[in-house]
Amino acid sequence: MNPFEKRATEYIRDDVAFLPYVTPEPLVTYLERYAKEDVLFDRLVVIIGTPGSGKTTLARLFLLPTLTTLLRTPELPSQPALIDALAACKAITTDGTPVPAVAGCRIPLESDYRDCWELPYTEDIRHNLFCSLLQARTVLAWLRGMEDAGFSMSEVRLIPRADASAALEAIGGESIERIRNVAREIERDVYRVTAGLLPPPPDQLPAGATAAYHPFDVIEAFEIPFGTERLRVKPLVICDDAHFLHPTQLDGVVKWFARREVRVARWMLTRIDALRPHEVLRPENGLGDAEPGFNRSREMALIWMQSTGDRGANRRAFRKIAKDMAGRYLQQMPIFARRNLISLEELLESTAPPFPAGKLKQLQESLSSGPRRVVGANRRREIEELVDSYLGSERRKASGAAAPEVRAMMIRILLERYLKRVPQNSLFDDAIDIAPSMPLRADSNVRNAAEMQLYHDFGRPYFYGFDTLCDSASENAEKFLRLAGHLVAQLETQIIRNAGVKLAPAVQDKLLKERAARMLEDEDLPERARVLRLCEMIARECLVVTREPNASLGEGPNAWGILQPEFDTIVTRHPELARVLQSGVAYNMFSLVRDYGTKGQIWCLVELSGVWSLKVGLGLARGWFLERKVDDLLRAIQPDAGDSR
Amino acid sequence: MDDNKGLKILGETLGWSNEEARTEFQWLRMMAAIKYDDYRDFLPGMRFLENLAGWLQQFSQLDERREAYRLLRQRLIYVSPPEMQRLVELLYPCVIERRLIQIIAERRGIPEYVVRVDRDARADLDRLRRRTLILGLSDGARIDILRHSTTRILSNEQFVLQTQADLFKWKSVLADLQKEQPAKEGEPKAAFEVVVLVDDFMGTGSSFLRYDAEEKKWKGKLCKFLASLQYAMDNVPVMAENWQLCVHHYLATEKAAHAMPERERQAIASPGKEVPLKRPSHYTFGAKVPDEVCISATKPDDSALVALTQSYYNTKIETRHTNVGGVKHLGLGYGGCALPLILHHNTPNNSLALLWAEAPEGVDDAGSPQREMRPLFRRRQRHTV
Repeated sequence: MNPFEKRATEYIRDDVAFLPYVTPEPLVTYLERYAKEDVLFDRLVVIIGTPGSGKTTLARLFLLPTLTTLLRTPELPSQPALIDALAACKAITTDGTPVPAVAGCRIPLESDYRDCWELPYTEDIRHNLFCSLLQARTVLAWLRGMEDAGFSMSEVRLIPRADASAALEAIGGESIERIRNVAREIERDVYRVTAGLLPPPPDQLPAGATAAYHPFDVIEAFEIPFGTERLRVKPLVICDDAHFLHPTQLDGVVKWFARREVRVARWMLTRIDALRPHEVLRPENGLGDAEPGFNRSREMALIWMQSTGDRGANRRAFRKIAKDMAGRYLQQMPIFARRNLISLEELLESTAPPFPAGKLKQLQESLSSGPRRVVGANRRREIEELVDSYLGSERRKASGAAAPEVRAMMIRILLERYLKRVPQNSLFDDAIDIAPSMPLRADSNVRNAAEMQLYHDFGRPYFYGFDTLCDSASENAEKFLRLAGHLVAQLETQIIRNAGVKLAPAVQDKLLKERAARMLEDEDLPERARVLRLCEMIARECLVVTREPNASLGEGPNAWGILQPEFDTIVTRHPELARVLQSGVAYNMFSLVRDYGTKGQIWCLVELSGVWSLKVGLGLARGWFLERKVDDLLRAIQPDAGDSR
Repeated sequence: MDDNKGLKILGETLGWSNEEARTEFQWLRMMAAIKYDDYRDFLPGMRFLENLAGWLQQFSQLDERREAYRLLRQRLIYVSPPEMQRLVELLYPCVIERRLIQIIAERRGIPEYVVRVDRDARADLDRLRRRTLILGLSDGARIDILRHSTTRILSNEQFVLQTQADLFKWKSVLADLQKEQPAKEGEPKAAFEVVVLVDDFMGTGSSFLRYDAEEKKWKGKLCKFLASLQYAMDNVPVMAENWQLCVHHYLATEKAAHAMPERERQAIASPGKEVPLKRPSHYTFGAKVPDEVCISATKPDDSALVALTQSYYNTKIETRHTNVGGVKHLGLGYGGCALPLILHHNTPNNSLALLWAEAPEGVDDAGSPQREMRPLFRRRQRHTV
């Protein structure tokens, strides 16, 4: 079994089997900062991410059975790291013996909860039915979780809010058994209404469906026996897949959970497509409509499981997450574990293979052919010296960047740039030696551009190495696993056949392209046709510029840039386009990089995901883009859209 | 053998590149795990991958081995236990009950959908259901699963494990019926009105019903059953006057399914009266294997495979039982059916002999050298030679 291909964590019910797969890095990357600000458990937390970003896996770590299993399994190699990370998130207290600080339960909202909204009642009644059903099931889930964690119900005590005796009585008082029975009755009565063929008239709703039932306002904590101590744990409800709710229903839940009266910790996990377009295109405005007395920054914490802020740092952080994840998954495969091959980074060759002599000769001859033949000998020599000086450092020699083909291609690019920087009528001269309008430079941009041009023009592998693999995944755990899984399957085959334990760059390149094409083919999302048309047009136009001989944008663009003020009009003026953009972002086809400052202006970049770059052959570096307008976006999503320029 | 060793050998045997090997290893592992390893004849340590390696190695040329692998990869149909179980479980709701409803509807002159709604028709249906007898034509009928899946619908006394029951058995099942449905005044005593014969697979139909040109008579399981039933009815009024016969096979070739009703009509009309039925039987099939899956020399894509069936062959696998099918050379299977079909509990001999036949290297009676034949899914022969 290749766990990379199975998305192992989704199918593993047993916590002891689940925990070895889990890396603690996302806890640190996404949650630690909020834990330090003490906002994870005292207000509504909304965690937003694309499919496969790891929301559910992350949430599972906060469930009480998982926490107790972790604490009771010292033989788990990752236990110390996970405990540290969970302690940093304040889910575990480490003063003395580590103990759980929260009792989480996960309530998937993909089943009957949406049905509440389809009932023929007023909004208030529907909302109340939903709230009762959710709270009843949550109470039952908490109690079940405590039993699963090995705590006897007779030893569990509920700690209520001080001034809520009537509400406490309504949920069953302090007796855990009564609380459970009341929750069951409420759930049964509401379920009868939602699941019945014909809903009863409002005046005939079952008693439990209309009773005052507000455990979330009452329950402050649970007290459980842990070892020799009695522990107070904060109840946490994690409402997963909130995107299944009706938008109005979701708004109502957000407002409910954002209230200060709710005592339990509450999280909502949702995909981006559950939000409204303006919440995606202008996320700084947060969720929910502004209301008097509703202060978003105080009432809720929004955690986006994707790049915000320092993108370079995010990329580096994701590489760390991916490295840890890959190591854990490899350890689950006996064929690798037996040979102690548990670092995927080491199994992927990261040095380019030798360049065939014939192609090198062809490349070198091209330096003096076509328009480049008119560059004078002195100028040519200067360019060669620039390149040699850049490549001369030991570090670059060691990394293989001084390979002869890279040198030759860098020279070729600089020759082309030179020809663009001299007056055009001088091109009819026999040999041009005049100074260019702007000095030439040999730097990392030119080197990267050279590698990209070698890829397209001579088939030299480009997409290989662990960092490239990570960057291609656009910081999405599932995409990383899918891409890596394909490489791991090939590695496994090689090991079985005694054909070496490292994957050659050419093989990595081919497999990644193959897998990327397949992933895009399989992608299922709202507005699929229009999103794909947009991505294909961006990719096509970026590829044209990437392959320009002078490599004007380094290794090439992978985005369209629209001036930010113009982009901000999309939500109001072009709602259809806003929906398309939202869908593309929600399903990781591209990301929106807002407020990108360059060329003296502020841009919003529509940046293709790494998987697109793999498929088409674009660079993975960030920041290179083609200047476009909103009209170009509009034209791109129309059927039979031609080139925008 | 370790699975990985098996895969390594297969990769070498078939000359795969690393990339081909990767795709094929994934497929082989998956199919072995969910289907092929469960073949009844396999033993621990010698399951599918090991058998496949051994099977392929009998072919001396690489292109022959690749062709044999292509048979497995692209043409093989394997019916696994859950699939067969599903066919068994569908017999009552999709075939028997529907037939009973049809019969009641015809008798009462009402539409079939009214049968369940009309109280009297429902009572008739309940009565007719109890007067239905189900007999297994072989172990493949899986009467055990059928009985289990019809708990509280059919009674245990309605199942008979063999078609040639003795008089004691017939009396016993009739007595149980009459106890449950005592005759009302003026009415005849209860007797069975519907008999369902069940078997797993029909390839050519010759086992079930065939005309023996040598002995000039009709033979087969149907004839044996009817002879046994006639003997019983001479002594015990086990069947009602207008009783009906239903015949169900869980799996059949399209050809056999199409041919059987006509064959039975000919048998009924023949002067020998080996098939003394007053009305034609009702034939049903759980699933049919379409003709286009059969291997055929007329299809260009199959010519290499057909050539393999000719060259990798041993006459020792031919017996007097297999000659009954009308085609002596079993390369394309019994009766020339040319099926690429495997049933998990045994491979039908209607399938290509390459898949099931086992014979040692040697010489035949005429002194011609005969090749060793190694099976992929070995067939357990039912008949001794």
